Amino acid sequence: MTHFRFGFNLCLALLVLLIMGCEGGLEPPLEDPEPVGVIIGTVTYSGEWPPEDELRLLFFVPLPFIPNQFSDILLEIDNLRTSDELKRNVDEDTFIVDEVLNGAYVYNIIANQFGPQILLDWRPLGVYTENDGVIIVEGDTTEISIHVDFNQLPPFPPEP
Amino acid sequence: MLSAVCSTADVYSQNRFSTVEGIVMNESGETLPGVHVTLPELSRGTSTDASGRFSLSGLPSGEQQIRFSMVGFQTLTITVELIEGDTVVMEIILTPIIYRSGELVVTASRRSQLIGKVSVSMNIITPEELHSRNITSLDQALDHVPGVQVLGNSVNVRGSSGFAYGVGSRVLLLVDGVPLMGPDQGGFDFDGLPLTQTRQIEVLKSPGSALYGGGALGGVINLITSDFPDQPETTVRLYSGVYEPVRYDQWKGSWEGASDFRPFSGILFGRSQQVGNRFGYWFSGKLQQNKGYLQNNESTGIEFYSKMGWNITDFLDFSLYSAVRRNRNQQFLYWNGLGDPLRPGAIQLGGDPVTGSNEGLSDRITLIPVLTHRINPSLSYTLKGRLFGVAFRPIDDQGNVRPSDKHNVGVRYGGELQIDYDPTDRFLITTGISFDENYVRADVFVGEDSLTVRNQPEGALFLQAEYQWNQKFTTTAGFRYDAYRVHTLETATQFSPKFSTSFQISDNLTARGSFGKGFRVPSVAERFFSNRDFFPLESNLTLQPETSTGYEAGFTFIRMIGNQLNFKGEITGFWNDYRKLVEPTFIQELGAFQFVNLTRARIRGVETSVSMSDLNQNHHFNISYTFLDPVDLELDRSLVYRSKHLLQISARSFITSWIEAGLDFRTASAPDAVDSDFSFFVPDAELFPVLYVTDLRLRFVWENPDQKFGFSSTLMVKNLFDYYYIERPAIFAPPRNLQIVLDFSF
Repeated sequence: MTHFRFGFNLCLALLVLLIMGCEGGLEPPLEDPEPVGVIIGTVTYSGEWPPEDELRLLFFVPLPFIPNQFSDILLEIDNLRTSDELKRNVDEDTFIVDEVLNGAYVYNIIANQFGPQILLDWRPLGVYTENDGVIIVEGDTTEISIHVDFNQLPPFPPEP
Repeated sequence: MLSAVCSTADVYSQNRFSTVEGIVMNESGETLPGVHVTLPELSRGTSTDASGRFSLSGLPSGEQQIRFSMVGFQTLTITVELIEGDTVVMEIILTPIIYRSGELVVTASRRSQLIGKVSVSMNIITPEELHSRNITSLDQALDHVPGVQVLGNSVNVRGSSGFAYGVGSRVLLLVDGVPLMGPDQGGFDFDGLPLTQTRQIEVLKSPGSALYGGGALGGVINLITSDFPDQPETTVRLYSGVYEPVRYDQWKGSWEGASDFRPFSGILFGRSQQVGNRFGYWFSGKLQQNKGYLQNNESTGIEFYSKMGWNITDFLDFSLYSAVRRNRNQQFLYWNGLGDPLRPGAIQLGGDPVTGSNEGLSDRITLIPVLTHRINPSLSYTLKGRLFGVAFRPIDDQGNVRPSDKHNVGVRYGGELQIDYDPTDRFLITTGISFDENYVRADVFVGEDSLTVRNQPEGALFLQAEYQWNQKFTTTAGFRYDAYRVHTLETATQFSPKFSTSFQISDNLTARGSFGKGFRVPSVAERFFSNRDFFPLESNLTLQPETSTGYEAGFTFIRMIGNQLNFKGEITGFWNDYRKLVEPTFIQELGAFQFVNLTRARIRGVETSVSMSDLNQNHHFNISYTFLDPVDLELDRSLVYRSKHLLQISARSFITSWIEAGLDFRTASAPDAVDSDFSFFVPDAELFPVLYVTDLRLRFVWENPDQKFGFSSTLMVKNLFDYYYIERPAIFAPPRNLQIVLDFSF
């Protein structure tokens, strides 16, 4: 019995040593919060508004790249910031997007979900075309304006 | 083997009552303290002292039965004739339970057989293990089985399931041999099982479709409910504990509940009894509440189970198992990233975000009637029925049950006839037929035909023959033929053969080998689920069944070492091929996830385990290691969510006669590959670190056989080193938690 107890205690000691060697597991990401800025803007509309069932979602979204297909946007969806929903059937509205990560935003659009497929049925209604986009610097607020002409919607994917 | 008894009866005159006294030893002549000595008919009893001696006086004359029992030894009952005024002196020798080779199992061949004769890999979870670890749900028990890994609500037997969001399990759950998979999602329900009235849980670790049909692609888990004891038993268990706050301020900052000790508690109770010679019953229940260690992750539940058995005649038995359960659960579906893992995330697609949690009421009912008729000693048949119903009612943000068109209802019902025929002592035949049907009504199960009611009937014929060539060599062969209806009234079939053999090389060493096929019909949820409330998922009506072919070979070595140590070692090599595996995949054209027949796969590996215990069963040590080589043959890379290395170690020991300490440690390597599609939507969903979990417990035992009252108190620390890990993608696993368990039996 003495031998067994010795063996048992030895196994326990080895087990404890093994366990003590383990790491602490998951921990919060170490990097500092990324620097952010703010975009505020005005959107103006011309032409006849589409029917209500085509205006399921409507907001402004800045993109740091020019998408070639919709899945390009999906891949970055975690990092996107959008405005609150915009008003319908008005001539003009304003929007704000805070906590926009610093960087260049080359494709800034009024986005519209026009059908029931929340991951598929999207189109741009208007694109910010000045200055080749927007550059966000930490703490700065950038003002932009976008015009939406319902009679002449921008193409998607955008023309090169 | 019956216990050896050596008793002498010195009789001498004393008074008008009788006395019994003596000493109890093991086969080595060592005296045994703490042996229970009882006279059941007189409700009298005592236990042996430190020198193994006992004495019971004031006994009436006449024929009396005396029972000697102790953990780790075979219970011995002897009959003595007591004469008025005399003293009977006895010398009792108890025989230890030969290590595990004497355990009976039923899952491997649909009939009772010694585990030492089973020719496929099996493990048994005993009631003692369930009890000592305060196991309150099945997943907690499976965590300690060699080669088994639980990822969320997906059970992996040797890497079979990966992680599939709780639908379409590739391991079949049975209760007393009856399938209890969810009618809708085909997944496991870890709660809702009578764990306090469980004789054992058997884990078959190879394809089992030749006996049990669809779902047994990677293995079978069979919970065997308790029988009815000779003496009435009542048990009550109270437990209460807390989750410790996480140690990182950043995680605490976004949810104030993260700084609190979050409580959980419950009560489990049971009563079992035989009434007369022909009737027995047990019932048990559980009430529990858990505040959860994550935001929106609280749960409460109440469960009741019962089983009654009626020995109608000497040849006809009837039993009825029933269970009802109601749970109110908040479900935490995915986190808000590693920077904020304690709160549910949200998929921001513009407008209102889709949140990563929900809440609902879940009700379940189970009925299993069984009739067994022994026509003659070599022929019997068993009729089994089954009814398993589930209902889920979602709750809105104001705490109200949502309208009935949002409710899900599912029923699985069916029956089977099994015939057991033993034409000779060496030749055994088991055959039968079975029928099952799923019925599911839910607005989220919509296919191209827009129906919201789904059913999926299936029927099967099975046959198995076992032949024992001699005392050392046994072979088993069998098959099952399943037919099941798929979409638009099309019927498909599956043929699942099996073959296994075992050969006893020596008294200590047994070799075994087996081959078997398995299949799984995709669940209703995988084929018809179409919903975007929490996650974009689309139905797939063209899903085909998955199939598997498994081969394994192994050796088992059992030996008593130095008359002190029971030793059992096993090594098994296995090779499983899977075809048409169903995996959730993001389909760009649909803008949604869909279950598709994605890949061919091969999982091969080696599993080895060593178990040791001392003769008195006071010290136990188990270690097991499983190596997996899981390959996606289509993509020529590792299968997702499979750990290559699994290691489990457990030890328990009686430090003194009344203090038992136990330690469990398990580790799993990080999977080589994970599902990257999920991380399109959920931040850090691709994280899956190596797992190290250590549980420690200290149990204080007090028993009073005279009053038939037992009490124990256990202090448990789970995840002792507060290791932070995940058990399924994007959900933080429990941090260190402490609990106190009080057990009463009388």
